[in-house]
Amino acid sequence: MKISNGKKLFTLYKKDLAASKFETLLILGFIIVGNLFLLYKTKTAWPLDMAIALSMLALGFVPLFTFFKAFNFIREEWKENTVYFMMSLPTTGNIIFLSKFLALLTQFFILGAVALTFSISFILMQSGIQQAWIAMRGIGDMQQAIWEISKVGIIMFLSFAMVIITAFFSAVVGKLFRKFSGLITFIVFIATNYVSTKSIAEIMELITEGMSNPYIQKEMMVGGTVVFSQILPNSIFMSIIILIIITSILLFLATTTIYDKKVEL
Amino acid sequence: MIKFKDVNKHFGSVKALDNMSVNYIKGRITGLFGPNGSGKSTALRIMLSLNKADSGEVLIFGEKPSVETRENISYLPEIDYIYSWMTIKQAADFMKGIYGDWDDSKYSDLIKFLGLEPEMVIKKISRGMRAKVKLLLCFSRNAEIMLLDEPLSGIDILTRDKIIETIIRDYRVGEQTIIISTHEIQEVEGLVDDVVFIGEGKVVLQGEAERLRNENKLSLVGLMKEVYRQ
Repeated sequence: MKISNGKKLFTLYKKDLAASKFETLLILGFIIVGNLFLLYKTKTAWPLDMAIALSMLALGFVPLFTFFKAFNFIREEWKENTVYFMMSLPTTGNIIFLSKFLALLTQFFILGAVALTFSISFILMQSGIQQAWIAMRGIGDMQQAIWEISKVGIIMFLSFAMVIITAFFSAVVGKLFRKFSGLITFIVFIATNYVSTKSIAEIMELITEGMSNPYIQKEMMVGGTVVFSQILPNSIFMSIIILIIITSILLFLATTTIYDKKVEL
Repeated sequence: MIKFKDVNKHFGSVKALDNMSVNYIKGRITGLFGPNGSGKSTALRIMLSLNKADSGEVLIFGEKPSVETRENISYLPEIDYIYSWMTIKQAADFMKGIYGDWDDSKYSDLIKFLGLEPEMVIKKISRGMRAKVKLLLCFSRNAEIMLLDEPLSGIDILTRDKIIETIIRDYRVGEQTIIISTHEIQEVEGLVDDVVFIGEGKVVLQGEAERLRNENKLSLVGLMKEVYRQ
């Protein structure tokens, strides 16, 4: 009986998650203990501003950790000789790298959710829940405000996912070379990032040609004052995310094609 | 049948396989013999498409090596290639989730026979034990083809006996094709039906083991010495 690709993907995903379980728990422990320490310090001596800044620093560390982990995921397979195991499996590069990608995103969401909860808690402690509620009620169009923030969040997340795929791509290209593999990986990562972001920017320029100030369309009022504008009209937002997704898919397919056709042991 | 026809493979300036042509017959155990660096491991890796031939033709039961042909191949490389953080049970569960020919009853029998425990963590056990784990994972499948790359290398004599016993015990005559690559011929002399001697990437002698022994009035070890002396 042949195992379906879905089951193989799930098996690989579980393996990839388990492989980084220790690291994830360690970082999670640091985030929780660090934030609890900040909470204790704010009760005794430190100002809340400092706790917010340090808590945000921990939050910023999560994507950074996931980013380096993406390179490490590939490097470890070669270093530990498990690449012999991985490459002898009856699975294509698509499934191998999709499982790694999903495992990294899971790790990112777990760590990010915990770190973000602490950061938001500190911010609410500073402004006071009641004050925050009043400010939120002052927003003219709440739904619109949430959508605007979500749009920025979605773009940031998709860009981050693209960076992860770029890391896979450059690490696999690096593995085509026996000498200077690390240096080649670094150069390919920088070059690919430059080319992909430049291409997206160029295409966006073509799309928005003729529009005056296309990224800021209208102002929004919060409690009688302008706090932010509608940063991205929906058409521009959709164009950006489509371009990021297409670039990511192309990079992913390039990675798996190189892995399937060119990488040798 | 596994067929190699005029297969060449270079690694930089090093010629690993030099016009290799050989047929591995289905349902038999073939010994792939030769000194270190003769191209034995490369030949096995090409069957798995871990290495790609520069030229020539490789066919696994009529198909080019691919993800599909890997479904039917159980591979045991010389190096420790299993995730070292895994327990034996985790490694077995992983294999079960990937290979449709995984056989739970074979796994249960073999783990007892080899004296292993499911909760053993791979990185914490000795080299001999790790060799047994590789064998366990390889032989718990009902794969049509088994590629064993130096299965006895660096293993103590008692473990070697256990490994050979396992191969004899689980081999399905006429159904399974086993290729054992090794330079330690003495240990597997009694196991193999066919032999292929290679040197510097070339096939120097091949044929049925019994026939070659009778024709040359030499054991396979003696035959190897003769072959490589020339």
